[in-house]
Amino acid sequence: MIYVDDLVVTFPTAPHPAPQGLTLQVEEGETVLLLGPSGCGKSTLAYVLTGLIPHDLHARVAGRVQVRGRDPQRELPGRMAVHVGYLLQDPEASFATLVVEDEVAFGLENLRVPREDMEPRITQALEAVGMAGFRHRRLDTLSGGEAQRVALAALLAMRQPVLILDEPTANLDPQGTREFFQVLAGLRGKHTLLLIEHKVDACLHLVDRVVLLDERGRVLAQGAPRPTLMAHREAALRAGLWLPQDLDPRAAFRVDFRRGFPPLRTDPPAVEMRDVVFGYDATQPLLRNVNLTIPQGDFLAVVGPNGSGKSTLAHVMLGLKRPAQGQVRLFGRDVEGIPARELIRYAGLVFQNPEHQFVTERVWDELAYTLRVHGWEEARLRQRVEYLLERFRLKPYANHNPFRLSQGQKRRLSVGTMLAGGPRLLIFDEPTFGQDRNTAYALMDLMLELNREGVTIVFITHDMRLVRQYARHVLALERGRVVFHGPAEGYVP
Amino acid sequence: MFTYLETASPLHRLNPSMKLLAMSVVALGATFTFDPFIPAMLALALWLTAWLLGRVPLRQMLRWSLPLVSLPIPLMIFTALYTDLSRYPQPHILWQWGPWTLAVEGLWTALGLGLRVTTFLATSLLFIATTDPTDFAMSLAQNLKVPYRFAYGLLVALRFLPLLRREFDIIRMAHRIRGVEEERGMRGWLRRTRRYAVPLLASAIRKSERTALAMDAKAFGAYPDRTYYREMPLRGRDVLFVVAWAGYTALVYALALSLDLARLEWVPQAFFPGLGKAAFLSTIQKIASLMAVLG
Repeated sequence: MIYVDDLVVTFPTAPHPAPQGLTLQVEEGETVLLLGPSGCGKSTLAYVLTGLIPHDLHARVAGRVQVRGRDPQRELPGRMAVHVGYLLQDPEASFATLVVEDEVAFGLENLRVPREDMEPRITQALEAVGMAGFRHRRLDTLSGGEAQRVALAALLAMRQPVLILDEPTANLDPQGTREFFQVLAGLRGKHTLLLIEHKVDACLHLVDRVVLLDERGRVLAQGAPRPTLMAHREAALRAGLWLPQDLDPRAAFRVDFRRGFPPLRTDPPAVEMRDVVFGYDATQPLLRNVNLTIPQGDFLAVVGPNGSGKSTLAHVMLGLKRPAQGQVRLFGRDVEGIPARELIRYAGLVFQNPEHQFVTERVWDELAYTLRVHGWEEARLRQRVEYLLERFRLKPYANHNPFRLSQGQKRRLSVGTMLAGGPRLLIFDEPTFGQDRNTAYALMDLMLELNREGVTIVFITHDMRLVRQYARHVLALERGRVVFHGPAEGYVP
Repeated sequence: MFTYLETASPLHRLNPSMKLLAMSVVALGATFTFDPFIPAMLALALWLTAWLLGRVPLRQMLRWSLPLVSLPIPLMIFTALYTDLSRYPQPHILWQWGPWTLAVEGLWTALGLGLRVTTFLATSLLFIATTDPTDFAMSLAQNLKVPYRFAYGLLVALRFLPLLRREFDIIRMAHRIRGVEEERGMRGWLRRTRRYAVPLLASAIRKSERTALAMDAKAFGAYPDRTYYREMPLRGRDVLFVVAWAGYTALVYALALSLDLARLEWVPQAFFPGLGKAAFLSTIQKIASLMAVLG
C-alpha cells in the first residue's frame, strides 16, 4: 500500500535533512501510529506521500516512495488526492467553504463527481462521523471536535483508500479527542490509516502497529503497540516521546507542596474577582458571575472544555478585557486603574502562540524591552539580560530574529520576556501545547521553580496528567461558570 | 456595515449574478442626473423591495441606514455652498455671507447628491442582505465564468476576515502585557501598525499556507473544470428581475423629464471647473477668500 525506501528530504532553509533515511512499509487496511520527536520529519513524510511536496512545497527529495503503486513525485498536481487523504491539525485552517455540506462536497467537486452522485456520498460521510444532523450548519458555529469530524467527513466522501492524520486531536479537549478516536475506530480496516499523534493513551488501543522514529526520522523500532513501547522505553524517553501513563516513569510523580514552598497568603490575594460577567453578547456571556480568590503563592490549574471561557478568564484577570459587570483586583489593586507599564510588575501572561508577544527584531532586545520600559540603567539591564539568556538557553541566539527561532526556543523566549520585569503572578495559556515530553516537563519544572521563588502560577491546560502531577489547586470552568475550585486532590475530571 | 441575513425570501432565491447585474443597472441609473427626484424614487423602490420581497426587517434597515445617512452630509454641505450659480439665469438666493451664497438651486443639487449616495447604499443593502456569500461565489464561477480559483479565493477571504480580527485582538493584548503603552498621535499610530503588522502577517501567511495545503490535498485545481454541488441555474424570474429594474429606472427618467423634475447631466460643472471659465474663476476666488478668513 505505502512503500518508502531510504527517504531523505531537505528543505531549502533547514539545517539538516528530516527525515534522513526513512524506510517504511504499510500494508493495506493497516492502522499505523507514527511516533517521533518534533522536527523529525513526520509531517514532511505526509507531504511527500500526498504529493504536496513537490507541487506546493519545495524541498529536495531522495529515495523511493510509492503509494498504491504510484510515485507521488511524478503524479500531476492534485491527482494523488484520489488515493491519499490528508487531515491537518487545525480544522479551522483546513476549510475552504462556509457551510458543512459545502465543505464535504468540496473534494467531490474537485474530482468532477457528477452532481447526482454527491448527495448519497455526503450523507454517508456525515453519518460515518456522527455529524448527520449538522449538514446545514455554518462551520464557524462548530466546536473544535465537531469541526475536526467534519474535516474527516470531507475526506471520507472522497473515498480515499489511504488516510494520513497529522495530529488530528492536538486542538481538541479531552471529550472531543475521545469522540474523534471513537469515529476513527470505526474506520479501522476500511482504510489504510497512518496516524501521527502525541496522545498515546487515547489512541493506542486502535492501532495495529507503532513505528518509533528517532530525531533524524529513521525507524528506531516498530511492531505491536504495547510490547514495542515497553521494549524501547528508554530510547523513546530519550527522544522526548510521550508514553502511555503506565509506562511513563513520571506517572506516580506528584509535587509535594508542603515542603520547600512558600505558604499561601491572602493579604492581599494575588487575584480577587467579584461577580464578574463578561461577554460580547448579553444573552450568551462568556463568563457568568465568577467569584474567586487566588492566594499568593498558589499553583493553580484552570481546566474545562474548549470554549468554556478559560482564556477569557485570564484576559479579564489582568484587565486586558474589561468585564461588563463586577470587580477584579490584582494584589489588592483595582485592575482597571493599573496602566500597562505598571501591570508588568504585577503579572505576566504567556500566550499560546509565542510569536504574538514579540515586539522587537532581536532576541537580546526582546528580553531588554520590558526592562527599558521600567527605566533600568544600562549596566544593570545588561546583567539581567545576560542572566535570562543563560537561564533559558538562548545565549547562542542573542542576535537572532525571534520569529526565526525553533518552536521550543520561541516558547522559552516568551517565558523569559515575561520574567524580565519580575512579576509576582504568571499565567500560562496551554504552555505544553504541541511540545514533546522533554520540553513540556522542562517548562513545567521551570514553572515549579518560579513558584518556589514565590511567583504565583496559573496554567490553563487540557492535560489531566499535568494537573494531577503539578497543580496545587484546580479551577474548572463550564460554559463560563466556575464548577469546581479547590485542592487538586479533591478534583475528579 | 451590511451583513447577509439568513432567511428565506423571493430575493434570496434569485440568481446572485443577475441580482448583481440589476443592482448595477440601478446604481448606474442614479448617475445621470443631479436632481433629487430620480435617486429618491430609486432608493425608495430599493428599500420597499428589500423589505417586502427580501424580508429584511424595517428596524434592521433603519439600524443599518441611519448611521450611513450621515456619510454624505459633508459632501452635501459643500455642494450647497459651492454650487456654480452662474449656470442659473435667476438663482433664488436665500442667504449670503462673505464668499458664501446659499441658494435654492444649491440645496437642490446637494439633496440630489445625497440621495445618489443613498441609492448606492440601498443597492448594496439589498444585495448583501439577501445574497448567501457561497451562492454568490458559486454563481460568479458558473454564470459569469469567473475562474473558479478566484471564486473560492473570495470564499476563503470571507472566512479569514473574522479570524484575522480575532488574531489582531489577541496580539494587542499580548503586546499590552509586555508593557507596550498605546502611543498617541501620528507617530504612535505608525509605530503601532508596524509592531502589529509583523506578527499579524506572519500568522496570516501561515494560516493561508495551511488552507492552501488542505485544499490542494483535496484535489483543488487538479482539473481545469469542476462539478458543482450548488448549482446556480438562470431562470426566467432572474432575467425578469433585471428587466424590471431597467424598466423601472427608465420609467422614472421618462416621468422626471416629462414633468421637468430633472435635467440630464453627466457632471456638474462646479466639480470640474475647467469646463467653464466663469465657474473656475469663482471657485478659485472662493478658495482664496476661505483661506483668508481661516488665516
